[in-house]
Amino acid sequence: MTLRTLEDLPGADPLKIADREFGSRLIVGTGKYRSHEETVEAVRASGAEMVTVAVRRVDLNAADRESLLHYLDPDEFFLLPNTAGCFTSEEAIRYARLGREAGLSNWVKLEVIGDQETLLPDTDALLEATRVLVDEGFTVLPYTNDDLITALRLEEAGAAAVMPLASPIGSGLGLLNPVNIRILKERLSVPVIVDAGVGTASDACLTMEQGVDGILMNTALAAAERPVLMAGAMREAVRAGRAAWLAGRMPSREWAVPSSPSTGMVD
Amino acid sequence: MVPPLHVICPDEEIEREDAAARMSAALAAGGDSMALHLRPRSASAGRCLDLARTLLPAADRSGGWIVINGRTDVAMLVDVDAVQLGRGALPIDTARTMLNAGCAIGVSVHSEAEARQAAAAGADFLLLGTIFSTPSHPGEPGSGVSRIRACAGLPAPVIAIGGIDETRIAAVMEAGAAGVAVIRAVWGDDDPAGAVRRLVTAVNRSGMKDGTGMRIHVNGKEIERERGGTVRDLLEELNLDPRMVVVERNRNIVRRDDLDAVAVTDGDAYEIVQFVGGG
Repeated sequence: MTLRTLEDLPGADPLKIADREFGSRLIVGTGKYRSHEETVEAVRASGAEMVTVAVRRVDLNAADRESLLHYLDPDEFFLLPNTAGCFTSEEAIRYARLGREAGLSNWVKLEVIGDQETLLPDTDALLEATRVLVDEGFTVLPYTNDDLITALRLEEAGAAAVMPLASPIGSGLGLLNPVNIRILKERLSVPVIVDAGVGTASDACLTMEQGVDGILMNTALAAAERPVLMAGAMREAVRAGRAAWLAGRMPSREWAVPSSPSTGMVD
Repeated sequence: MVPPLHVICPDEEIEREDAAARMSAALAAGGDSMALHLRPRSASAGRCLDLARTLLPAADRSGGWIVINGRTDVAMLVDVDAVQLGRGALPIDTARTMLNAGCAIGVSVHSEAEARQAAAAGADFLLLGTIFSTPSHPGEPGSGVSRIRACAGLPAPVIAIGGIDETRIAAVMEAGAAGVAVIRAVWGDDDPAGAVRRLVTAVNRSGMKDGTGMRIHVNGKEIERERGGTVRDLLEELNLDPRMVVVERNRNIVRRDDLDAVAVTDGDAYEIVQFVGGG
Protein backbone atom coordinates (compact mmCIF):
# COMPACT_ATOMS: atom_id res chain seq x y z
CA MET A 1 0.00 0.00 0.00
CA THR A 2 1.34 3.43 -0.87
CA LEU A 3 1.63 6.08 1.77
CA ARG A 4 0.53 9.44 0.47
CA THR A 5 -2.12 10.85 2.78
CA LEU A 6 -2.84 10.66 6.49
CA GLU A 7 -5.73 8.36 5.69
CA ASP A 8 -3.26 5.76 4.35
CA LEU A 9 -2.10 5.25 7.95
CA PRO A 10 -2.14 2.80 9.59
CA GLY A 11 -2.58 0.22 6.84
CA ALA A 12 0.57 1.28 5.01
CA ASP A 13 2.62 1.73 8.15
CA PRO A 14 1.91 -0.94 10.77
CA LEU A 15 3.94 -1.32 13.96
CA LYS A 16 5.83 -4.62 13.75
CA ILE A 17 7.13 -6.23 16.92
CA ALA A 18 8.46 -9.80 16.84
CA ASP A 19 5.96 -11.77 14.76
CA ARG A 20 3.00 -9.43 15.22
CA GLU A 21 1.68 -6.31 13.49
CA PHE A 22 -0.38 -3.58 15.10
CA GLY A 23 -2.41 -0.95 13.29
CA SER A 24 -1.99 1.55 16.12
CA ARG A 25 1.37 2.85 17.32
CA LEU A 26 -0.18 3.78 20.65
CA ILE A 27 -0.06 1.23 23.47
CA VAL A 28 -2.02 2.05 26.60
CA GLY A 29 -2.05 0.90 30.20
CA THR A 30 -5.14 0.09 32.23
CA GLY A 31 -4.14 1.31 35.70
CA LYS A 32 -5.66 4.03 37.87
CA TYR A 33 -9.00 4.44 36.10
CA ARG A 34 -12.09 5.07 38.20
CA SER A 35 -13.86 1.95 37.00
CA HIS A 36 -13.59 -1.01 34.63
CA GLU A 37 -16.16 0.71 32.39
CA GLU A 38 -14.10 3.88 32.12
CA THR A 39 -10.97 1.80 31.44
CA VAL A 40 -12.47 0.06 28.47
CA GLU A 41 -14.10 3.20 27.10
CA ALA A 42 -10.79 5.09 27.20
CA VAL A 43 -8.87 2.16 25.71
CA ARG A 44 -11.33 2.01 22.81
CA ALA A 45 -11.14 5.78 22.28
CA SER A 46 -7.34 5.60 22.14
CA GLY A 47 -7.49 3.19 19.21
CA ALA A 48 -4.78 1.07 20.88
CA GLU A 49 -4.62 -2.61 20.01
CA MET A 50 -2.01 -3.55 22.58
CA VAL A 51 -2.99 -2.98 26.20
CA THR A 52 -0.90 -3.57 29.31
CA VAL A 53 -2.16 -5.26 32.47
CA ALA A 54 -0.60 -6.07 35.85
CA VAL A 55 -0.55 -9.35 37.76
CA ARG A 56 -1.80 -9.17 41.34
CA ARG A 57 -3.28 -11.36 44.07
CA VAL A 58 -6.98 -12.06 43.88
CA ASP A 59 -8.65 -10.26 46.78
CA LEU A 60 -10.32 -13.11 48.64
CA ASN A 61 -12.38 -10.72 50.75
CA ALA A 62 -13.74 -8.58 47.92
CA ALA A 63 -17.43 -8.99 47.33
CA ASP A 64 -17.08 -7.88 43.73
CA ARG A 65 -14.87 -10.42 42.01
CA GLU A 66 -15.52 -9.23 38.52
CA SER A 67 -12.27 -9.62 36.67
CA LEU A 68 -10.80 -7.01 34.34
CA LEU A 69 -10.91 -9.75 31.71
CA HIS A 70 -14.69 -9.54 31.75
CA TYR A 71 -14.30 -6.04 30.31
CA LEU A 72 -11.15 -6.29 28.24
CA ASP A 73 -11.87 -9.04 25.76
CA PRO A 74 -8.59 -10.77 24.79
CA ASP A 75 -10.10 -11.25 21.33
CA GLU A 76 -10.48 -7.48 20.93
CA PHE A 77 -7.19 -6.36 22.52
CA PHE A 78 -3.75 -7.88 22.68
CA LEU A 79 -3.07 -7.99 26.43
CA LEU A 80 0.50 -7.43 27.53
CA PRO A 81 1.20 -8.46 31.15
CA ASN A 82 3.76 -6.33 32.98
CA THR A 83 6.07 -6.97 35.91
CA ALA A 84 5.37 -3.60 37.54
CA GLY A 85 6.33 -3.38 41.18
CA CYS A 86 9.19 -5.88 40.90
CA PHE A 87 12.53 -4.85 42.39
CA THR A 88 14.66 -7.92 41.60
CA SER A 89 15.17 -10.00 38.49
CA GLU A 90 13.90 -13.10 40.33
CA GLU A 91 10.67 -11.34 41.24
CA ALA A 92 10.19 -10.05 37.71
CA ILE A 93 10.80 -13.52 36.26
CA ARG A 94 8.25 -14.99 38.67
CA TYR A 95 5.63 -12.42 37.63
CA ALA A 96 6.41 -12.94 33.95
CA ARG A 97 5.83 -16.69 34.32
CA LEU A 98 2.56 -16.09 36.16
CA GLY A 99 1.43 -13.72 33.42
CA ARG A 100 2.26 -16.22 30.71
CA GLU A 101 0.35 -18.97 32.50
CA ALA A 102 -2.85 -17.00 31.94
CA GLY A 103 -2.53 -18.48 28.49
CA LEU A 104 -2.86 -15.40 26.28
CA SER A 105 0.67 -15.08 24.89
CA ASN A 106 4.32 -15.35 25.83
CA TRP A 107 4.84 -11.57 25.71
CA VAL A 108 5.88 -9.56 28.72
CA LYS A 109 6.48 -5.88 29.44
CA LEU A 110 9.49 -6.28 31.68
CA GLU A 111 10.02 -3.79 34.48
CA VAL A 112 12.62 -4.12 37.19
CA ILE A 113 12.52 -1.02 39.35
CA GLY A 114 15.66 0.17 41.11
CA ASP A 115 14.36 3.05 43.19
CA GLN A 116 11.03 3.64 44.91
CA GLU A 117 11.04 7.44 44.55
CA THR A 118 11.89 7.78 40.86
CA LEU A 119 10.78 4.32 39.67
CA LEU A 120 13.86 4.33 37.46
CA PRO A 121 14.89 0.91 36.20
CA ASP A 122 17.62 -1.30 37.69
CA THR A 123 19.34 -1.93 34.39
CA ASP A 124 21.63 -4.72 35.62
CA ALA A 125 18.69 -6.71 36.94
CA LEU A 126 16.69 -5.83 33.83
CA LEU A 127 19.37 -7.28 31.55
CA GLU A 128 19.63 -10.42 33.65
CA ALA A 129 15.87 -10.96 33.64
CA THR A 130 15.71 -10.28 29.89
CA ARG A 131 18.31 -12.98 29.21
CA VAL A 132 16.51 -15.55 31.36
CA LEU A 133 13.07 -14.83 29.90
CA VAL A 134 14.27 -14.76 26.29
CA ASP A 135 15.88 -18.11 26.98
CA GLU A 136 12.52 -19.39 28.25
CA GLY A 137 10.85 -18.36 25.00
CA PHE A 138 9.29 -15.07 26.11
CA THR A 139 8.89 -12.09 23.79
CA VAL A 140 10.42 -9.47 26.07
CA LEU A 141 9.67 -5.73 25.91
CA PRO A 142 11.86 -4.13 28.59
CA TYR A 143 11.14 -0.72 30.12
CA THR A 144 14.49 1.03 30.42
CA ASN A 145 16.06 4.46 30.71
CA ASP A 146 17.19 6.47 27.68
CA ASP A 147 20.76 5.19 27.85
CA LEU A 148 22.10 3.91 24.53
CA ILE A 149 24.47 1.31 25.97
CA THR A 150 21.79 -0.35 28.07
CA ALA A 151 19.47 -0.31 25.07
CA LEU A 152 22.09 -1.98 22.87
CA ARG A 153 22.71 -4.65 25.50
CA LEU A 154 18.99 -5.32 25.81
CA GLU A 155 18.78 -5.73 22.05
CA GLU A 156 21.76 -8.07 22.13
CA ALA A 157 20.08 -10.05 24.93
CA GLY A 158 17.15 -10.71 22.62
CA ALA A 159 14.60 -8.03 23.57
CA ALA A 160 11.88 -7.80 20.89
CA ALA A 161 11.64 -4.03 21.38
CA VAL A 162 13.32 -1.55 23.68
CA MET A 163 11.15 0.84 25.70
CA PRO A 164 13.02 3.90 26.97
CA LEU A 165 11.27 6.42 29.17
CA ALA A 166 10.40 9.97 28.10
CA SER A 167 10.51 10.98 31.78
CA PRO A 168 9.73 9.13 35.04
CA ILE A 169 6.63 6.91 35.28
CA GLY A 170 3.51 8.91 36.09
CA SER A 171 5.37 12.26 36.04
CA GLY A 172 3.76 13.75 32.94
CA LEU A 173 6.94 15.75 32.31
CA GLY A 174 7.01 14.88 28.62
CA LEU A 175 10.06 14.09 26.50
CA LEU A 176 13.04 15.33 28.51
CA ASN A 177 15.84 14.22 26.23
CA PRO A 178 14.84 14.06 22.57
CA VAL A 179 18.49 13.76 21.52
CA ASN A 180 19.01 10.52 23.45
CA ILE A 181 15.81 9.07 22.08
CA ARG A 182 16.86 9.94 18.50
CA ILE A 183 20.27 8.35 19.04
CA LEU A 184 18.62 5.19 20.39
CA LYS A 185 16.32 5.00 17.42
CA GLU A 186 19.17 5.46 14.97
CA ARG A 187 21.34 2.77 16.54
CA LEU A 188 18.83 0.02 17.35
CA SER A 189 17.41 -2.47 14.89
CA VAL A 190 14.49 -3.54 17.07
CA PRO A 191 11.52 -1.18 17.51
CA VAL A 192 11.86 1.66 20.01
CA ILE A 193 8.71 2.32 22.03
CA VAL A 194 8.83 5.33 24.33
CA ASP A 195 7.30 4.20 27.61
CA ALA A 196 6.31 6.55 30.45
CA GLY A 197 6.35 10.27 31.07
CA VAL A 198 4.14 11.58 28.29
CA GLY A 199 1.69 14.09 29.82
CA THR A 200 -0.43 15.54 27.04
CA ALA A 201 -1.03 15.37 23.30
CA SER A 202 1.84 17.70 22.30
CA ASP A 203 4.27 15.45 24.24
CA ALA A 204 3.04 12.43 22.31
CA CYS A 205 3.27 14.25 19.00
CA LEU A 206 6.78 15.58 19.72
CA THR A 207 7.89 12.09 20.78
CA MET A 208 6.61 10.47 17.60
CA GLU A 209 8.32 13.21 15.56
CA GLN A 210 11.67 11.86 16.79
CA GLY A 211 11.02 8.81 14.61
CA VAL A 212 10.33 6.27 17.33
CA ASP A 213 8.09 3.32 16.57
CA GLY A 214 5.44 3.86 19.19
CA ILE A 215 4.46 5.18 22.61
CA LEU A 216 3.17 3.42 25.70
CA MET A 217 1.23 5.55 28.16
CA ASN A 218 -1.18 5.15 31.04
CA THR A 219 -1.35 7.99 33.55
CA ALA A 220 -1.70 10.68 30.85
CA LEU A 221 -5.10 9.18 30.08
CA ALA A 222 -6.22 7.85 33.46
CA ALA A 223 -5.30 11.00 35.38
CA ALA A 224 -6.80 13.44 32.85
CA GLU A 225 -10.01 15.11 33.96
CA ARG A 226 -11.76 13.47 31.02
CA PRO A 227 -9.82 10.28 30.26
CA VAL A 228 -11.93 9.27 27.25
CA LEU A 229 -11.47 12.66 25.60
CA MET A 230 -7.72 12.63 26.30
CA ALA A 231 -7.53 9.11 24.85
CA GLY A 232 -8.95 10.45 21.57
CA ALA A 233 -6.51 13.37 21.65
CA MET A 234 -3.60 10.95 22.11
CA ARG A 235 -4.79 8.81 19.23
CA GLU A 236 -4.73 11.87 16.95
CA ALA A 237 -1.41 13.14 18.36
CA VAL A 238 0.38 9.84 17.81
CA ARG A 239 -1.00 9.64 14.28
CA ALA A 240 -0.06 13.26 13.55
CA GLY A 241 3.45 12.86 14.98
CA ARG A 242 4.03 9.68 13.01
CA ALA A 243 2.74 11.22 9.81
CA ALA A 244 4.89 14.33 10.31
CA TRP A 245 7.95 12.16 10.78
CA LEU A 246 7.19 10.16 7.66
CA ALA A 247 6.42 13.33 5.72
CA GLY A 248 9.88 14.73 6.47
CA ARG A 249 9.85 18.16 8.04
CA MET A 250 11.26 21.27 6.34
CA PRO A 251 14.69 22.40 7.47
CA SER A 252 14.58 25.04 10.18
CA ARG A 253 16.58 28.24 9.80
CA GLU A 254 17.23 31.37 11.79
CA TRP A 255 15.96 33.92 9.26
CA ALA A 256 12.67 34.40 7.55
CA VAL A 257 12.08 33.20 4.00
CA PRO A 258 8.99 34.65 2.35
CA SER A 259 6.29 32.19 1.40
CA SER A 260 4.84 34.41 -1.27
CA PRO A 261 6.57 35.32 -4.55
CA SER A 262 8.95 38.26 -4.22
CA THR A 263 8.41 39.14 -7.89
CA GLY A 264 5.29 40.47 -9.59
CA MET A 265 4.64 43.14 -6.97
CA VAL A 266 2.65 46.11 -8.28
CA ASP A 267 4.35 49.49 -8.53
CA MET B 1 10.96 -31.82 54.42
CA VAL B 2 11.81 -34.99 52.51
CA PRO B 3 9.72 -35.24 49.32
CA PRO B 4 7.23 -38.13 49.36
CA LEU B 5 7.96 -39.56 45.90
CA HIS B 6 11.46 -40.91 45.23
CA VAL B 7 12.19 -41.87 41.64
CA ILE B 8 15.34 -43.94 41.32
CA CYS B 9 17.36 -43.90 38.11
CA PRO B 10 19.39 -47.10 37.64
CA ASP B 11 22.31 -47.52 35.20
CA GLU B 12 20.06 -48.15 32.19
CA GLU B 13 18.42 -44.76 32.70
CA ILE B 14 21.64 -42.89 33.50
CA GLU B 15 23.30 -44.23 30.37
CA ARG B 16 20.50 -43.38 27.97
CA GLU B 17 21.34 -40.68 25.46
CA ASP B 18 18.11 -38.84 26.26
CA ALA B 19 18.53 -39.27 30.03
CA ALA B 20 18.65 -35.54 30.80
CA ALA B 21 15.47 -34.82 28.84
CA ARG B 22 13.55 -37.72 30.41
CA MET B 23 14.67 -36.86 33.91
CA SER B 24 13.99 -33.12 33.50
CA ALA B 25 10.46 -33.92 32.34
CA ALA B 26 9.98 -36.18 35.36
CA LEU B 27 11.24 -33.45 37.70
CA ALA B 28 8.91 -30.90 36.17
CA ALA B 29 5.98 -33.29 36.59
CA GLY B 30 6.87 -34.16 40.18
CA GLY B 31 7.27 -30.61 41.45
CA ASP B 32 8.40 -30.28 45.03
CA SER B 33 6.89 -33.67 45.86
CA MET B 34 9.66 -35.54 44.05
CA ALA B 35 13.24 -36.59 44.70
CA LEU B 36 15.18 -37.92 41.73
CA HIS B 37 17.88 -40.45 42.70
CA LEU B 38 20.87 -41.05 40.47
CA ARG B 39 22.05 -44.57 41.32
CA PRO B 40 25.19 -45.36 39.32
CA ARG B 41 26.49 -48.89 39.74
CA SER B 42 28.30 -49.65 36.51
CA ALA B 43 27.69 -46.12 35.16
CA SER B 44 30.70 -43.85 35.59
CA ALA B 45 30.99 -41.21 38.29
CA GLY B 46 31.76 -38.67 35.55
CA ARG B 47 28.52 -39.40 33.71
CA CYS B 48 26.62 -39.15 36.98
CA LEU B 49 28.27 -35.82 37.83
CA ASP B 50 27.50 -34.36 34.38
CA LEU B 51 23.91 -35.46 34.63
CA ALA B 52 23.48 -34.03 38.13
CA ARG B 53 24.84 -30.68 36.94
CA THR B 54 22.57 -30.67 33.93
CA LEU B 55 19.51 -31.47 36.03
CA LEU B 56 20.08 -28.94 38.80
CA PRO B 57 18.28 -26.02 37.06
CA ALA B 58 15.24 -28.24 36.42
CA ALA B 59 15.20 -29.27 40.08
CA ASP B 60 15.56 -25.63 41.16
CA ARG B 61 12.60 -24.68 39.04
CA SER B 62 10.37 -27.49 40.23
CA GLY B 63 11.45 -27.41 43.86
CA GLY B 64 12.29 -31.11 43.67
CA TRP B 65 15.39 -32.85 45.01
CA ILE B 66 18.35 -34.49 43.34
CA VAL B 67 19.87 -37.33 45.36
CA ILE B 68 23.16 -39.06 44.59
CA ASN B 69 23.21 -42.71 45.60
CA GLY B 70 26.40 -44.23 46.97
CA ARG B 71 28.88 -41.73 45.56
CA THR B 72 29.57 -39.21 48.31
CA ASP B 73 32.50 -37.99 46.20
CA VAL B 74 30.14 -36.98 43.41
CA ALA B 75 27.78 -35.31 45.88
CA MET B 76 30.68 -33.19 47.16
CA LEU B 77 31.23 -31.73 43.70
CA VAL B 78 27.71 -30.61 42.90
CA ASP B 79 25.14 -28.90 45.10
CA VAL B 80 22.62 -31.75 45.41
CA ASP B 81 19.94 -32.01 48.08
CA ALA B 82 20.87 -35.40 49.51
CA VAL B 83 23.03 -38.50 49.28
CA GLN B 84 21.70 -41.99 49.70
CA LEU B 85 24.06 -44.40 51.45
CA GLY B 86 23.62 -48.10 50.74
CA ARG B 87 25.50 -51.27 51.53
CA GLY B 88 29.25 -50.70 51.35
CA ALA B 89 28.97 -46.91 51.48
CA LEU B 90 30.76 -44.65 53.96
CA PRO B 91 29.46 -44.38 57.53
CA ILE B 92 26.96 -41.55 58.10
CA ASP B 93 29.18 -39.42 60.34
CA THR B 94 32.09 -39.68 57.90
CA ALA B 95 29.88 -38.70 54.96
CA ARG B 96 28.49 -35.79 56.98
CA THR B 97 31.95 -34.25 57.44
CA MET B 98 32.47 -34.32 53.67
CA LEU B 99 29.16 -32.87 52.52
CA ASN B 100 27.72 -29.35 52.41
CA ALA B 101 25.75 -28.43 55.51
CA GLY B 102 22.43 -28.43 53.66
CA CYS B 103 22.88 -31.88 52.14
CA ALA B 104 20.58 -34.49 53.69
CA ILE B 105 21.64 -38.11 54.16
CA GLY B 106 19.38 -41.03 53.42
CA VAL B 107 20.28 -44.58 54.36
CA SER B 108 19.09 -47.83 52.79
CA VAL B 109 17.91 -50.31 55.42
CA HIS B 110 16.40 -53.77 55.19
CA SER B 111 15.23 -54.58 58.71
CA GLU B 112 13.90 -52.93 61.79
CA ALA B 113 17.30 -53.35 63.47
CA GLU B 114 19.13 -51.65 60.61
CA ALA B 115 16.54 -48.89 60.59
CA ARG B 116 16.99 -48.19 64.31
CA GLN B 117 20.75 -48.16 63.95
CA ALA B 118 20.69 -45.73 61.02
CA ALA B 119 18.17 -43.43 62.71
CA ALA B 120 20.30 -43.37 65.85
CA ALA B 121 23.39 -42.57 63.74
CA GLY B 122 21.67 -39.46 62.42
CA ALA B 123 20.15 -40.47 59.08
CA ASP B 124 17.76 -37.80 57.77
CA PHE B 125 15.55 -40.39 56.09
CA LEU B 126 15.44 -44.13 55.57
CA LEU B 127 14.79 -46.08 52.40
CA LEU B 128 13.17 -49.18 53.83
CA GLY B 129 13.01 -52.34 51.68
CA THR B 130 12.01 -54.68 50.45
CA ILE B 131 8.30 -54.21 51.01
CA PHE B 132 6.98 -56.22 48.06
CA SER B 133 8.97 -58.65 45.95
CA THR B 134 10.40 -57.04 42.84
CA PRO B 135 12.22 -58.15 39.67
CA SER B 136 15.17 -55.94 40.60
CA HIS B 137 15.83 -58.15 43.65
CA PRO B 138 14.84 -61.66 42.47
CA GLY B 139 14.50 -64.31 45.13
CA GLU B 140 14.02 -61.77 47.89
CA PRO B 141 10.55 -62.07 49.38
CA GLY B 142 8.76 -58.88 50.34
CA SER B 143 8.41 -58.07 54.02
CA GLY B 144 4.94 -56.59 53.57
CA VAL B 145 3.81 -53.41 55.25
CA SER B 146 4.42 -54.77 58.77
CA ARG B 147 8.06 -53.71 58.47
CA ILE B 148 6.91 -50.15 57.78
CA ARG B 149 4.68 -50.22 60.87
CA ALA B 150 7.62 -51.36 63.00
CA CYS B 151 9.78 -48.48 61.81
CA ALA B 152 7.18 -45.74 61.54
CA GLY B 153 7.87 -44.26 64.98
CA LEU B 154 11.60 -43.71 64.42
CA PRO B 155 12.96 -40.15 64.33
CA ALA B 156 13.87 -40.49 60.61
CA PRO B 157 10.99 -40.60 58.13
CA VAL B 158 10.54 -43.89 56.30
CA ILE B 159 10.40 -44.04 52.52
CA ALA B 160 9.15 -47.47 51.45
CA ILE B 161 10.79 -49.25 48.50
CA GLY B 162 10.26 -52.51 46.67
CA GLY B 163 7.56 -53.40 44.18
CA ILE B 164 5.49 -50.29 44.86
CA ASP B 165 3.13 -48.98 42.21
CA GLU B 166 0.10 -46.72 42.21
CA THR B 167 -2.23 -49.43 43.53
CA ARG B 168 -0.08 -50.15 46.60
CA ILE B 169 0.58 -46.58 47.69
CA ALA B 170 -2.48 -46.26 49.92
CA ALA B 171 -1.56 -49.36 51.97
CA VAL B 172 2.06 -48.30 52.33
CA MET B 173 1.21 -44.78 53.43
CA GLU B 174 -1.48 -46.03 55.78
CA ALA B 175 1.17 -48.18 57.50
CA GLY B 176 3.09 -45.01 58.35
CA ALA B 177 5.48 -44.42 55.47
CA ALA B 178 6.35 -40.79 54.77
CA GLY B 179 6.71 -41.61 51.10
CA VAL B 180 7.57 -44.22 48.49
CA ALA B 181 10.47 -44.97 46.17
CA VAL B 182 9.92 -46.44 42.72
CA ILE B 183 11.89 -47.44 39.64
CA ARG B 184 9.77 -49.36 37.17
CA ALA B 185 6.52 -47.59 38.04
CA VAL B 186 8.07 -44.55 36.32
CA TRP B 187 10.75 -45.73 33.89
CA GLY B 188 8.76 -48.76 32.78
CA ASP B 189 5.94 -46.46 31.67
CA ASP B 190 5.67 -45.18 28.09
CA ASP B 191 5.12 -41.72 29.56
CA PRO B 192 7.39 -41.37 32.62
CA ALA B 193 6.28 -37.79 33.33
CA GLY B 194 2.63 -38.86 33.28
CA ALA B 195 3.45 -41.73 35.64
CA VAL B 196 5.18 -39.30 38.01
CA ARG B 197 2.10 -37.08 38.01
CA ARG B 198 -0.19 -39.99 38.90
CA LEU B 199 2.14 -41.25 41.63
CA VAL B 200 2.49 -37.78 43.18
CA THR B 201 -1.27 -37.42 43.28
CA ALA B 202 -1.65 -40.85 44.85
CA VAL B 203 1.04 -40.21 47.46
CA ASN B 204 -0.28 -36.77 48.37
CA ARG B 205 -3.85 -38.00 48.54
CA SER B 206 -2.90 -40.85 50.89
CA GLY B 207 -0.92 -38.47 53.05
CA MET B 208 -3.99 -36.45 53.85
CA LYS B 209 -6.56 -37.63 56.25
CA ASP B 210 -10.07 -36.47 55.52
CA GLY B 211 -11.79 -34.91 58.47
CA THR B 212 -8.67 -34.21 60.47
CA GLY B 213 -8.36 -30.66 59.18
CA MET B 214 -5.39 -28.99 57.58
CA ARG B 215 -3.95 -25.54 57.40
CA ILE B 216 -2.92 -23.91 54.17
CA HIS B 217 -2.07 -20.36 53.19
CA VAL B 218 -3.80 -18.60 50.33
CA ASN B 219 -2.51 -15.16 49.36
CA GLY B 220 -0.94 -14.79 52.75
CA LYS B 221 -4.08 -15.73 54.64
CA GLU B 222 -4.33 -18.91 56.72
CA ILE B 223 -7.25 -21.14 55.83
CA GLU B 224 -8.38 -24.24 57.66
CA ARG B 225 -9.92 -26.99 55.59
CA GLU B 226 -11.59 -30.24 56.43
CA ARG B 227 -10.37 -32.09 53.37
CA GLY B 228 -7.58 -31.97 50.88
CA GLY B 229 -9.04 -32.37 47.45
CA THR B 230 -7.38 -30.99 44.36
CA VAL B 231 -6.36 -27.46 43.47
CA ARG B 232 -9.46 -27.23 41.29
CA ASP B 233 -11.58 -28.10 44.35
CA LEU B 234 -9.84 -25.30 46.25
CA LEU B 235 -10.63 -22.77 43.50
CA GLU B 236 -14.26 -23.85 43.49
CA GLU B 237 -14.49 -23.42 47.25
CA LEU B 238 -13.04 -19.92 46.92
CA ASN B 239 -15.56 -19.19 44.19
CA LEU B 240 -12.86 -18.48 41.62
CA ASP B 241 -13.09 -19.16 37.91
CA PRO B 242 -10.04 -21.27 36.93
CA ARG B 243 -9.93 -19.53 33.54
CA MET B 244 -9.51 -16.13 35.17
CA VAL B 245 -6.71 -16.90 37.63
CA VAL B 246 -3.24 -18.39 37.79
CA VAL B 247 -2.23 -20.54 40.74
CA GLU B 248 1.18 -20.92 42.29
CA ARG B 249 1.56 -23.75 44.84
CA ASN B 250 4.63 -23.58 47.05
CA ARG B 251 6.22 -21.24 44.50
CA ASN B 252 5.58 -23.54 41.55
CA ILE B 253 2.98 -22.67 38.96
CA VAL B 254 0.16 -25.21 38.73
CA ARG B 255 -0.66 -25.46 35.04
CA ARG B 256 -4.32 -25.27 34.11
CA ASP B 257 -4.18 -28.82 32.77
CA ASP B 258 -2.90 -30.03 36.12
CA LEU B 259 -5.51 -28.43 38.40
CA ASP B 260 -7.21 -31.80 38.78
CA ALA B 261 -3.99 -33.71 39.25
CA VAL B 262 -2.40 -31.69 42.03
CA ALA B 263 -3.54 -32.40 45.56
CA VAL B 264 -3.88 -29.78 48.27
CA THR B 265 -1.73 -30.88 51.20
CA ASP B 266 -1.25 -29.68 54.74
CA GLY B 267 1.05 -26.66 54.99
CA ASP B 268 0.78 -25.69 51.32
CA ALA B 269 1.19 -22.02 50.44
CA TYR B 270 -0.77 -20.71 47.46
CA GLU B 271 -0.62 -17.52 45.50
CA ILE B 272 -3.67 -16.99 43.34
CA VAL B 273 -3.31 -14.09 40.95
CA GLN B 274 -5.24 -12.43 38.17
CA PHE B 275 -4.86 -9.58 35.72
CA VAL B 276 -5.67 -6.13 37.08
CA GLY B 277 -5.31 -2.66 35.60
CA GLY B 278 -1.67 -1.66 35.17
CA GLY B 279 0.66 0.39 33.02
